[in-house]
Amino acid sequence: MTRGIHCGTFESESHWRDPQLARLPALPDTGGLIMTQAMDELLFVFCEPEDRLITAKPMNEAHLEYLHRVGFRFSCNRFSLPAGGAADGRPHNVFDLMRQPCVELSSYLQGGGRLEPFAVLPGTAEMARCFELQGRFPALEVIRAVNTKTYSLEMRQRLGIPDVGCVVTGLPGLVDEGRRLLQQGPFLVKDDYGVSGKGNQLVQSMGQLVMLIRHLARQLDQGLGMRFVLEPYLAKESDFSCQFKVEESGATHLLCVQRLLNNGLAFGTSCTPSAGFLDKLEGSGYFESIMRVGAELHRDGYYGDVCIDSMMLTDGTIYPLVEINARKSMSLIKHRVDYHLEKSGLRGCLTSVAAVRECAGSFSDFLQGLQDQNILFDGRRDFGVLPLTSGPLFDSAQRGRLYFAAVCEGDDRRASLMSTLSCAMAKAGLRVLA
Amino acid sequence: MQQSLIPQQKLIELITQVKGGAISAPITGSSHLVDDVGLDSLQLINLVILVEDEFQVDVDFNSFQVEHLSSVDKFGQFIQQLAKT
Repeated sequence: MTRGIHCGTFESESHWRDPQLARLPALPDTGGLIMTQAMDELLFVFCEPEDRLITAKPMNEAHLEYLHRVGFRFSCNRFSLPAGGAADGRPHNVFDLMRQPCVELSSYLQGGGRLEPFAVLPGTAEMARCFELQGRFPALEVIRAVNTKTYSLEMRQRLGIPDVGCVVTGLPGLVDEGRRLLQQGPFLVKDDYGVSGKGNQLVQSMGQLVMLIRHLARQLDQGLGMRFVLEPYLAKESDFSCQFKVEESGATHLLCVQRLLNNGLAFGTSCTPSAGFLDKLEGSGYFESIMRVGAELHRDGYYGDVCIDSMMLTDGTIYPLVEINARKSMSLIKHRVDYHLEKSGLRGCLTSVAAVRECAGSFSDFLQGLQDQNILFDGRRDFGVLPLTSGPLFDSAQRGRLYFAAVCEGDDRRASLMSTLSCAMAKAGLRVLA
Repeated sequence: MQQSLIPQQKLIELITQVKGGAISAPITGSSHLVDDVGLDSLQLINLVILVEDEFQVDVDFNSFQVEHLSSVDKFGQFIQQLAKT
């Protein structure tokens, strides 16, 4: 069987986005880019033993040794990819880096393989050709189109979901539609390529709408265009997502559903849903809607991984399609962690904590600290913290994030685990952020 | 150190308002708006909107610096500078 070559760049939406479009108000996040780049370590979960992972920076040796000890088998590069690479002013992605001359990479990829990207980005197909890797991908224009919020809105219309919102491409439209929506309640303004938690603006008052218009007008004056989706802000009980794969033939395979405990509009924790919740989805016709989305995506030229964000409203209604992410996802990573844990009859939640390194030692010291607190998952017990990344916290600017699986059953045990983790991080010189 | 003329207590009130009362530790002049208070980007934007209304200033996000968030007092000084212009 052909080995897989796994690599990718997170926050794919920023690589698909048209730079000539105006942006919603956002605050500077200088350390965020370094942290996001280091998230590529998470892709080890997709590796089978014969597969190879490529990360922009080599993974921490202590982390690698730990992951191998608890049963994850994969090879990964021990060298950094060359810096730079994008030609057209867009942000660099891993495929740009891989196309730079690099003797170690050529040697590492000798023997070929099947390219398994986290998302298909500018440069993915070129990189595959460059290293003679197998892998068929839809045209980039298709990928870009199906990942827009505009496309998700159109898909909701195709599914017959009422009151789906509208697209605005100029300030007069934003003013008119914004006023109309505000009469019914708060509404969301979504960037056509908004990244989770960053590309959405909740508007609750005329004051906020006026401020938004002023902010956008400055950019339009500089010659930028505008495209946003406006949607009523629905009263939500909970978020969940469905992962599936559309084959090139059009066959759609459901992979999993995960409950999401989000931080506002950003990813928080991905958990296994109860059997009762899945029964409710089944009874509501949710999976028929998902299969329909798969068929429509294929009809529009897409095949590959898909994550559909959905929600349950406070009145119990299932809202099947919030947005389409035509790529792998954090919840698919959680599914793959479960795939490994299930070999031992276990399951985990995928989550993260933000922290500041105040007087932290090495990642090895951190692992030892978890061990000393008796909460480091060791592959034998049914309880513990399984660190999935080191770079986003230890190689980032002072502020970073630890991604991990909380391996345990029940909310009480998870709360206890999180509390002990906070103590262990404090002892390791890592201040957990509010 | 230059003191902000924007009332610190008023700023703390506005911050508490956008947090919806979910404050885990007392906010002081030296509290970092992200690391200590835990404001996320949407809450920060809502804070800027409240501040614009309260102090009659116009914040341009395109020139906003991360340093302005390093303490309540620094944020106040930034708003004070805008109020002067």
